[in-house]
Amino acid sequence: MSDQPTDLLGRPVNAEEAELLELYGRIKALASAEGLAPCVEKNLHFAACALAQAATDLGLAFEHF
Amino acid sequence: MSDRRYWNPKWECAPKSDLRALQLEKLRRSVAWAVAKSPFHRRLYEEAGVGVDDLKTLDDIRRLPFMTREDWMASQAEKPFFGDVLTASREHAIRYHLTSGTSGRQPLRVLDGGKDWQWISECWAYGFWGFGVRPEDTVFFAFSYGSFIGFWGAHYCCEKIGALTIPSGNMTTENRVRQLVEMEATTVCATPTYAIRLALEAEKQGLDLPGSSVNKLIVSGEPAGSIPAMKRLLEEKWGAKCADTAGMTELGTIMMFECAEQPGGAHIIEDHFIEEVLDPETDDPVSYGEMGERVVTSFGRGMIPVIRYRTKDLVVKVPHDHCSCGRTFDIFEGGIQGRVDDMLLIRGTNVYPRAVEAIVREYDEVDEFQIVAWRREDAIDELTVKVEFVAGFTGDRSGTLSTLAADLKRNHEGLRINVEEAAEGSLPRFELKAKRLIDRRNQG
Repeated sequence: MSDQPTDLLGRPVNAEEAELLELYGRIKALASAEGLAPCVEKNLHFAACALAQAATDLGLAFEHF
Repeated sequence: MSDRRYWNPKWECAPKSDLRALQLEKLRRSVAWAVAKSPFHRRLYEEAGVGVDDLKTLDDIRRLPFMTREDWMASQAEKPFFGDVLTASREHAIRYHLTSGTSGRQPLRVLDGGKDWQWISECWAYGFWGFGVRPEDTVFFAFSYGSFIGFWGAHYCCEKIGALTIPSGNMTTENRVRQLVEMEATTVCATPTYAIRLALEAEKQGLDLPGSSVNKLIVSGEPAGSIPAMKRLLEEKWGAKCADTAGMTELGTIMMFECAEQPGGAHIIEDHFIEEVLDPETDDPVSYGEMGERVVTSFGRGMIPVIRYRTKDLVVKVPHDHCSCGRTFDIFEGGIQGRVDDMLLIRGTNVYPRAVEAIVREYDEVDEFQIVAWRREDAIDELTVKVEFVAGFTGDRSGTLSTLAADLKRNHEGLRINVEEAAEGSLPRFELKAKRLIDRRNQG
């Protein structure tokens, strides 16, 4: 099995798309960490929403949270 | 960046087969989300005996039951204020809006989360970018910024694009016209009828709108934006290109936009929506070029799944190659062409004859009535309710007319509706289906 990320149609993604997906996953995970200051948590959530939109627009990810 | 033609070139110009595959994947995930999180949808699909596993091709969407406004409103009535359509509790929402609808005399209430608002503004960005709005633009919103969702998403879209955005919520029409000229706005957003009013106000003030910086007029909220005669009038009075967009509160955003090529219709944002066109009688799909009812599935609104929602809008879908812009998104020719029911849109407010009748019928002294929609010379739409008193009524006629007018206004979000007395026996009577609505707006 390859670890190479794919888009919603199962196709391999390019380098920038892979980076966007990784960034999105990391920001989303960090935003849900315990004990963050409100200023950090809320701004990370805002960033995660924006990254989710970019990933959705490219057909890389599609989820609600 | 400004020379880039498309907001999302990857999908706006994607092969049709890829678009359809993307829609199917998103549909499957949307249904799974709705069933897991929304009691309304779980009940709907359990009763129909369908689920995600039944969606193997895009045609399988027809196995899913319709979502109707009536069911949605019934859910709200049963469980105020939002029914059981929500996928999360209200603490997760950041915004509340409601429709101007008066069917059943209850508005539809909606909530959205932060992620939903990213998507709402995104759909507008497809349209604004597609019509040529760029970071260099100055965009003036002639919009009240109230509970009606209207141009809210467009405002955030312009901030996202990086354009200079001018809100004018509290300004008078007089001030708006002066401000948009003084601030050298390049783009103006308004409903079509209000755009006419702004132009007339400019003429009154001696301001030269065609000679101003405005080169794009983006309208929404009324079908008039796609009526060729209205568009010609707007473009002439503003000296600017006019583009139509269409959305609905049930979706939170626009689902179609007119691109800079202006093909005589609006492109459907097909990577974020599935737009079916069905025969309203048989529910069978109609072919390209045939009129039918829009049934929409939205992928972006997480808090309120909208899947196979019957809009009652009448549309004609034509293939994407009716436009030369390069997008592979299909087109609704002529925008929204009418309604399956007889809802009237008067100055941005929905008016349902049935709701008007429900109010009029509360007056025992009224025998017969007629609803007349008409257009003033300055292109503002008006509604007049003519009433005939019961024979021999000796009470306060003018008092009844005033009370009825106030009642109608209160039940239509402050919309002024004219009420006048008709002479005894002058209004038509009916034996079978009554036809009490006369729409004269597009006559002459």
